[in-house]
Amino acid sequence: MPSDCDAIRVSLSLIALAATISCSSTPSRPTDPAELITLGETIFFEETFDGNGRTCGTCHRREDNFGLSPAFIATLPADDPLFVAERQRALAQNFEKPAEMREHGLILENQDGFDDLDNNFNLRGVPHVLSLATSVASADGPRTGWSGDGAPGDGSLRAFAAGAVIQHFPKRLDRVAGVDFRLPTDVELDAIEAFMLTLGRQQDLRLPIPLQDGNASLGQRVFLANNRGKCNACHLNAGANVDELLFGPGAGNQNFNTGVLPNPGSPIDDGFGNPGTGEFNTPTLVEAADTAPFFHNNSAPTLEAAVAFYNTVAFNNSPAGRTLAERTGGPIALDGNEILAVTAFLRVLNALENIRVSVALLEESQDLARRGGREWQKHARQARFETEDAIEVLQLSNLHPEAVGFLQRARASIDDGLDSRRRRTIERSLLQAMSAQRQARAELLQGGGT
Amino acid sequence: MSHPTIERPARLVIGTIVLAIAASTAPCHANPATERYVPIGKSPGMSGKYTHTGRIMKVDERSHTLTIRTDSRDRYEVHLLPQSQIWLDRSKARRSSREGGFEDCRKGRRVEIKYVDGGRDTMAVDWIKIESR
Repeated sequence: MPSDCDAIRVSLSLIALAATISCSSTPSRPTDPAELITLGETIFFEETFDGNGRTCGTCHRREDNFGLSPAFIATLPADDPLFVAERQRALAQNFEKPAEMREHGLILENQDGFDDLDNNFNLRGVPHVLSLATSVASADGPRTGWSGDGAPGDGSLRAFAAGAVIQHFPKRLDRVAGVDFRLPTDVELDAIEAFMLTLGRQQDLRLPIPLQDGNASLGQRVFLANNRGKCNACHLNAGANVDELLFGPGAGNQNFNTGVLPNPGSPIDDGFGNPGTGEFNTPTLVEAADTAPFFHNNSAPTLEAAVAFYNTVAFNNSPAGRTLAERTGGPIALDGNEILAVTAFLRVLNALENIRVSVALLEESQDLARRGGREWQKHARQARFETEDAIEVLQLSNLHPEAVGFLQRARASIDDGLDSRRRRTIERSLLQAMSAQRQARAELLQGGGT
Repeated sequence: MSHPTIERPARLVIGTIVLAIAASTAPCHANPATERYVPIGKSPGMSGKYTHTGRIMKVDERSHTLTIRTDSRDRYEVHLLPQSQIWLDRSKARRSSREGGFEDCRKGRRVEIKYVDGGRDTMAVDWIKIESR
């Protein structure tokens, strides 16, 4: 017959077990910032928040520059969590528009409310989450998502994940916290934010930079000139912030109504606020060339189409176009060569950023390889994605064939490393890849990029 | 700043609260659509910093004014505007949140209130979540 002591012991064991289960389901706060970032990365790619199976990484794919393009979607298997609306009955209506997702890479959002799901929704592309450290702050507070108002709570990047879980992760459209999903804890929000802020550039470029290619150099001049391309007015240094000389001190990241037309058959997306102002957030351009399609509704399939849009009546007559004309003395009126020059400039900038990231990843990869284990492979694979992108963005405009050759060599070296099990071969391959990346960079910049 | 309907001892507390909140500017780019589904007290970066959580002590239907007692036992009045968003938080009953109306503001109910940006000195409500079953 069990004694009182036994009963107490059993009770204490159950309490301890419950506490253990409770602790293991929600992570505790790491004291080391690096550990917080690592935790954030794990949550970003693996945590489903007890929802429909999606994670942040379902739409912000590591292999697709932390965004999601229609071309990439076409490579995914039918059971990918992205396609839950095609498989789960509770999400079959008004959770996504699968045809729009597959064809145009558009995701359903309900920024204006959830009361009329049949009619009140927007279809938007997935913006990449690179270089957020440079692109969220504005004089009026943080701007997140395509319309700058994507987050609940305090509207911050930290709070964004909570809104994303509610919008994109639920098991049912009832969206009951604790039933259809669980909300991220404070520690998880901190960790996701810390991880996202490590992605991409930590600071803006300082243009101009000495480019080797004549056409890209012309493009840079057009981009920077407030009497020609005027791009720098809203994309200062090809980033996401406005030129303070034109928009006031500390203006930072801004929303604009640029007159982008809705996709045929799609509901009109009125952008920021409810009722909306028609304004959308300004994205960075350094990362543009390998993150097509463009604009909030993915309506510009190529970089050339996106740049050319700013030369149209639609843009020049839009509120943003008129503001720009007032502050710079006239509308944008480029000739075809100038448009191509600007795209060449953006392609070279993108390739330089790919190379910078690749070299950093390969350095980390080599360091990890020396210590043993397989963690180095993750960094090497990511460096390969970046290298592949650099090759593609240059090749698409026949830019810098010599640099492309070096980048192809870098890619082959990374592959050699990934195929090998011998530490010396791995280290040598990674070194060769870095060397080839630096040679490619030297081809893009005057003076060898020193 | 005047709060004519508030008892004298509470005025100082209320004034302090108002000034404290007004001094800390809440970010203004938050999205209310998903906010509706966040249970009372769980709004990231908002709850406990820019909101008040407590219970409704008194309802004035004519002026659309509520008297609230916060969890820290402070008491103050808040004003609902025609554009104030009213949500019924039914998460404890495992039911979906839904739009509510002023008639859902009943004495004794637990609430969370966010004030209109730039209008905190009037305690004007941007959104109010009301616990409901």
